[in-house]
Amino acid sequence: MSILLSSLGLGLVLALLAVGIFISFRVLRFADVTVDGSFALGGAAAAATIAAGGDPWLATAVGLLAGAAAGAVTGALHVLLRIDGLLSGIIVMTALYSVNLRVMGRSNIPLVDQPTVVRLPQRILERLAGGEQAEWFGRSVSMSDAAVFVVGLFVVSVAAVLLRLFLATNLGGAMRATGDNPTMMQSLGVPTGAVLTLGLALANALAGAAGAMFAQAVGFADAQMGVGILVTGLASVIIGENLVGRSSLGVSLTAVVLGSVIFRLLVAIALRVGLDPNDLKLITAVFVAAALALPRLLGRKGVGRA
Amino acid sequence: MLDVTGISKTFNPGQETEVRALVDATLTVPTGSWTIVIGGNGSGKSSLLNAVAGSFMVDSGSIAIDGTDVTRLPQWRRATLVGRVFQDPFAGTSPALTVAENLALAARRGLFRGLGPLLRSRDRVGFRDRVASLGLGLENRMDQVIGSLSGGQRQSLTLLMATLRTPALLLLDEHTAALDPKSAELVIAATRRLIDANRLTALMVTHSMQQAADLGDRLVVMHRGGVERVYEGAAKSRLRPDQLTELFAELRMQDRIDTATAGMLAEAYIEAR
Repeated sequence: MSILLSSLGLGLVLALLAVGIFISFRVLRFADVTVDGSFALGGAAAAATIAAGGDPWLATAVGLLAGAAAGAVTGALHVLLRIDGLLSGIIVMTALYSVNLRVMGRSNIPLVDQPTVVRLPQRILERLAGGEQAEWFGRSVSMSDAAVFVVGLFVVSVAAVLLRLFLATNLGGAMRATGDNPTMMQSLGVPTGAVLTLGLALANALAGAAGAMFAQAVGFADAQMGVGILVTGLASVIIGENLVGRSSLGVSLTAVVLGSVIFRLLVAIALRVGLDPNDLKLITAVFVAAALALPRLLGRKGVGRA
Repeated sequence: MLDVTGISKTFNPGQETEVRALVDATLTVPTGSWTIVIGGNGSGKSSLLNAVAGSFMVDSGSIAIDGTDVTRLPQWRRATLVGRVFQDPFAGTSPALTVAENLALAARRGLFRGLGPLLRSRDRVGFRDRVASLGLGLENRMDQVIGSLSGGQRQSLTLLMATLRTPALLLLDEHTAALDPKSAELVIAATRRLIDANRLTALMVTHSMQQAADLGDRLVVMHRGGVERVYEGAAKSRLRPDQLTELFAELRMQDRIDTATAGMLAEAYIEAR
C-alpha cells in the first residue's frame, strides 16, 4: 500500500513534466530535449531557494520561472539563429548542466530537514491520523507519501485545467495551429517564431515546476536528476494516449496525467519483483522505441507519433 | 491598390543553382480589379505572388499595398492587408483543429490574439451561414477536425477563411491546380462569388488558359521574371484561350532563338580564343 501511494504521488508530480512534454511534442510538434536540463534546473533553483531560507511555494515558482527561461533560450536559438530544433535543445540542456551546478554550488542539496510544499499537508495529515503512519484499508500508510499525493494531485489538476482553458483562447488556438501548420498561421498574421518560443517556455516552465516539486517530494535536488527524464515523460504520454485516448484536448491532458501515474506504478512493480534499478533507463528506452516503432511495423497510423 | 515597382529576386546568387526568379518586374493592380497572372514554368508568376505575400524579401524594388510600403515587412505583418490561398489545398488549414476553430483563427487575421475565447457562441452562427454558402454541406460538420475533409473541401474553406475579414488584397496562387476537375469548378465558382460579393481586389496566378480567358478583368503575362504583356478592358474581354496558347508558343520560340544565338556568340568569341 505504501509503495502504491508513493508511486501515485510521484506519478502526479511527474505528470507536470509529462504535460510539458505533451505541449512541446504534441501541440508544438517540436522534439524538445531541453526538459532533461530544465527539470534539473527547476529542482536546483527550488532547493537553492529553500536552502537560502525562501518559502517553499516561492521556491517552486522560482523553479518554474527558471524552466521557462531555459525553454525560451531554446526557442530563441531555433527561431532567431536558425539552429536546428533538436540541436537547440541539446545545446541548452548541455549548458544547463553547468548552470545547475552553479545554482546549487555543489552537486546536490538535501532538503530533509527543510520546509517543503509537502511539509504543511503532511503535518495536517499526521494530526488527523494521530501519527506518522496510519492504517488505511488494513495497511500501514506513511503520511509523508499521502501528503505528496495530495499536493501532487492539487498542483497537476490546477495546471491541467489552466492549460485546457489556455488552449481554447485566441492565443492558445494560434499556438495549436502553429504547431500544426505554421505556413497557414503566418498568412493569418501570427509571428509563428514568437509563438513557438512562448510554447517552449510554457513546456519547460512545467518541467521546471515538476523538478522543483520532485526535489521537495524526495528530499533532495541533484545535478543528475534530469538525466533521461524526457524519455520517461514521453513514455507517460504514450501510455496515457494509448490507454485513455486523445479524442479531445481534455481527454489528452487527462490521459497524459494518468499515463504518468501508471508508468510510476509499473516501475514500482518492476522494482518490487526484482528488477535491477540500474536497468530502468534501458528498459524505459526500449519501451519508448518499441511504442514508436510498433505502429509502423504493424502498418497502423497515429499511435507512435513523437 | 497594389503597386509592384521594379522588383528583382535571385535565389542562390553566385552558385550553380542560381535562379533569377524576378527581373525588374513592375505591375499595378487597381482597386477592385481581378488581375490574372499567367506564364510558363519558371516565368516568375508564383515568385511574384510570393514576393507580394512576403514569403521572401526582394533584392531590389518596392511593393506597396493600399498605400503602405510593405517591401521590408515580414509575411505575418502583411497579413493585415493580405488574404491568401495556396496551391497546396492542405496548406491553408490546420488539420488538427475543427472547421469552426479554423474559421475563428481566420476571423482574427492580422489582429492581436490574447486570452479571449477562440470560439464564441455568437460567432458560430455567422460561421455556419458562411460555410453553408459554399454549398458543400460542411455546415453540419463544423466540429469535425479539418484533417478529415477532402482537398477540395479544404480549399473551399481556405478561400472562405482568406476573405472572412475582407482583405485589401486577395492572393490566389494556382489554387485549383491540385484539385480534381469537379472540385476545381466548385472552388472557381466560390471564388467568383466571394470576389463579386465583397468587391475584392484580387491577384490570381493560374496555369489554365481557360481560366485566364474567362476570369478577371485584367491579364498579365509573365516571362523570364518580368511582365511581358498586359491585357485590359476590351482587349482582355475579347481574349480567347487559343490566342494565349499561341502567345506562349511564340515566347518559347523566342527563348530557343535566344539560346541558339547565345551559343553561336559563345562559339565565335569565347571558345575561339
